[in-house]
Amino acid sequence: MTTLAAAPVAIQTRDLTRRYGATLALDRLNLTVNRGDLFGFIGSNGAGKTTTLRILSTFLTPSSGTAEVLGHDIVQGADAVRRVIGYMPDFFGVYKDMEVEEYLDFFGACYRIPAAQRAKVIDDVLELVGLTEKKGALIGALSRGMQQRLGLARVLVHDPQLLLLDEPASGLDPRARIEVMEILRELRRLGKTIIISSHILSELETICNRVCIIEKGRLIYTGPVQGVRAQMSPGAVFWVRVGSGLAEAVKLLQACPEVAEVTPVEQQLKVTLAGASGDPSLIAETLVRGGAKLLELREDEMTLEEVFLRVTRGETQ
Amino acid sequence: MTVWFLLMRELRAHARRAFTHWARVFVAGALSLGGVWLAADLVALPGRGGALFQRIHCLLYCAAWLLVPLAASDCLSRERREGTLMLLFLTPMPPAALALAKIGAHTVQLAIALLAGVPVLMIPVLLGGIHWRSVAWLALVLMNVACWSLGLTLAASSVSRSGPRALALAVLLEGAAFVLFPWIFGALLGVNSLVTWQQGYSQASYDFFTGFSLLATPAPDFAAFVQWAFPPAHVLHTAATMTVISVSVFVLSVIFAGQCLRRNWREAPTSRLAGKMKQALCRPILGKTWLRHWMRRLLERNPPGWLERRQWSGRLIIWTWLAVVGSVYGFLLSNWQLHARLAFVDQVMVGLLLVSLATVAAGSFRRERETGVLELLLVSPLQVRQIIHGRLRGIWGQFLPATGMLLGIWMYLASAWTTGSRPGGPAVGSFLVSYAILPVVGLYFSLQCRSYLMAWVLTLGGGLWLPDLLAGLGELFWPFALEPKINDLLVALLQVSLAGVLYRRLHRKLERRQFPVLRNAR
Repeated sequence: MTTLAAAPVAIQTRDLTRRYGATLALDRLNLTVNRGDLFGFIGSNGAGKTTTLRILSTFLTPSSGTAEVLGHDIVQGADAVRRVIGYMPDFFGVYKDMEVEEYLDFFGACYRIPAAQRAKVIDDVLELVGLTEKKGALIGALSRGMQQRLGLARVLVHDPQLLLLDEPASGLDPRARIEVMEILRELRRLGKTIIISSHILSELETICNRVCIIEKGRLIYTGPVQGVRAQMSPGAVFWVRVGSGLAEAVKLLQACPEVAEVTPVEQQLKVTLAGASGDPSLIAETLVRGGAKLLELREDEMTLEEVFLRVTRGETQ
Repeated sequence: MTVWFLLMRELRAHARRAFTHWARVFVAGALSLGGVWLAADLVALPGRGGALFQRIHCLLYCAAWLLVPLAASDCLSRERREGTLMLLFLTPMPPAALALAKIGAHTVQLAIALLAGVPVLMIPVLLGGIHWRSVAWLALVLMNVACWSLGLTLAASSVSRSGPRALALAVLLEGAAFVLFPWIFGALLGVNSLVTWQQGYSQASYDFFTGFSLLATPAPDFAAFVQWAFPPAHVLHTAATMTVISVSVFVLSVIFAGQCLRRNWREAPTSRLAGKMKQALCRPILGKTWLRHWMRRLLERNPPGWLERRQWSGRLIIWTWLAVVGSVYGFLLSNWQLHARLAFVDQVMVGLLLVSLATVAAGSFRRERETGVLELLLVSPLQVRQIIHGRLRGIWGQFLPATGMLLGIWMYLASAWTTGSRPGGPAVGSFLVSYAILPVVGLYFSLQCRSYLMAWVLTLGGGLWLPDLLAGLGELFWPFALEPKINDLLVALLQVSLAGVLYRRLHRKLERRQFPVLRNAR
């Protein structure tokens, strides 16, 4: 077993499998998350995201395969794992008749934080999540967004190095979502490794440096956000705007053997080159030589949502 | 039409629940066993069916009162808890229709349960000596009791959002109706001039006993008795009036439940008055610093146990039991004429304390399962063993002061009894064993059962009655009679063994996360 300080990898799973009776929830998942990553976990409902996070949090044990969290095996070293992770499930997990401070105090005691330190720790985490003025409020009286932030505060009470957040922004209004994402950015700046599962892919795209896509319990992709677009894209796609003579421009481009497809969309042309790493200067050269007035040429970047839709429609291998 | 549709939905929902199946099995088994037990000491001779029928009549009468609050008290409160009531009220459905459909489904369930008594009823019929009027009387009495118990249980369920509170209120109302119903019937009969033995009784108590004896334990030759005692027209008139009253109670209860639902379905926040009352009655006034210090110390040493004790209701249990034990024994000891009743009071106190302990234990993990906090605790550095032990200590701690006081009083009485040993002294050993094992049994079922009621019944049944039953069955095969002390020891051994098995299973289920989840995700 590697030591905590020496482990450059935060999470490493090998053929992680989990069955619920006859249902295969997780199918030989091999995943690596580096320290300091803000790692997005993407998948449709029932894809196996929550099961993976539950296994990594030691709540569930795998049916087969292994996983190491910050150098500790999740089965053999479950106790050590629990001390270094903070798990926020896809539900609030609060007592509505408890006060905010009382709730955090309780979990602080569960994590064996000395009583003398707890008050300061609670103040700090409440400040971080912006709930300082709600310290004495009843949890039941908090809004959904505030309860979500309280959940984050609970996760941070014992200063874990790794955060496992299952849908932390679901059901929140746009403002609350932005606030939660800001907190996550701040936590990453503080050196935490964060795994976050979410359906709001546009937000994951902006805050995560790495993502993985999981479908029916199997890993489809893992790597940088940019990489997933390149991998999932069928070829190089560009948008072209010409001054006049749209039909002539289409003819010019269709005559070019490197161009796979030209589709007029409103006053623009969507041009797909044959190779995945096609050269856009070829389009410009063809149009200028043919006498067309080129106004704009830009690459068509697939959003994470489009990538996800392609994956879940089974359009990729 | 709406009621019919809702009723169908309810019956389908009931049919899908495992609880319904097991409840039917349990009721059928209990009625059959009860019938056999009642018939055991009767000589099965032709013409002796009347005596057995009288006992079965009594059994069904009590079962109808007992089963309804147990089965139906959570019918509306559950809808409120799960948030489905709101959805139903967004449709153009009248609240009374919902209440009627809910209780209609339970009426069918009760009828099915009571039908389980039909095979047992066949025994006295075959023995002979039963007039058709006795059977008709039983049917009429059961219909009246069903009206009262179903109506009052529905009303209790519409008032509360919490299952245990609805059950407690239903039991309270049923207790009152159990007295009121025979009293009204006795008063309607108005037969105090016919008998002379009522000297010394008040009119009210006489009415109650007359009504109760006719409703619950009618004489074997009921038909002949009625013909002898009352003019037939008077009996018919009284029975009809009683039925009208019972049906009115049912209708009024349904209307009341509908009104309650109409007021409460929006889940309005607590009223200002209720808030003030809670603040005045439930907040500590004296020794606040000491209490804070004490609770902090408890939190440091035992966080899972602290959860059990942090609420005012937890503290209320401690102080209420101390007050009850102190005042009851104080009153008894200050009045030497009541010393003869000490043995009875001991038994009642022990029984109530154990039932109270089972009630708390059977709901112990429930809240954590509903809120999802149990999952959070299981991924904290707390070991499963620490969670279980912490919880057990929390439950024991709630009843420890009262138990200590009870033991102290018993020790005092044992030493103060100068003329020989104290008559009918309590079985201290059995009590302590039950006190020790009931929280373990309750904790297991609170984790395992979806329904609180089922957990409560299984806790009491498994922790107290099953070992007794097994010891009793063992005696049947034993060649010679066991001494009471040996029998107590056998029961205690069975209790401890059962608790040991359940503790191991509880540990394993928590380790493997094999428990039904009650929460709704966000």
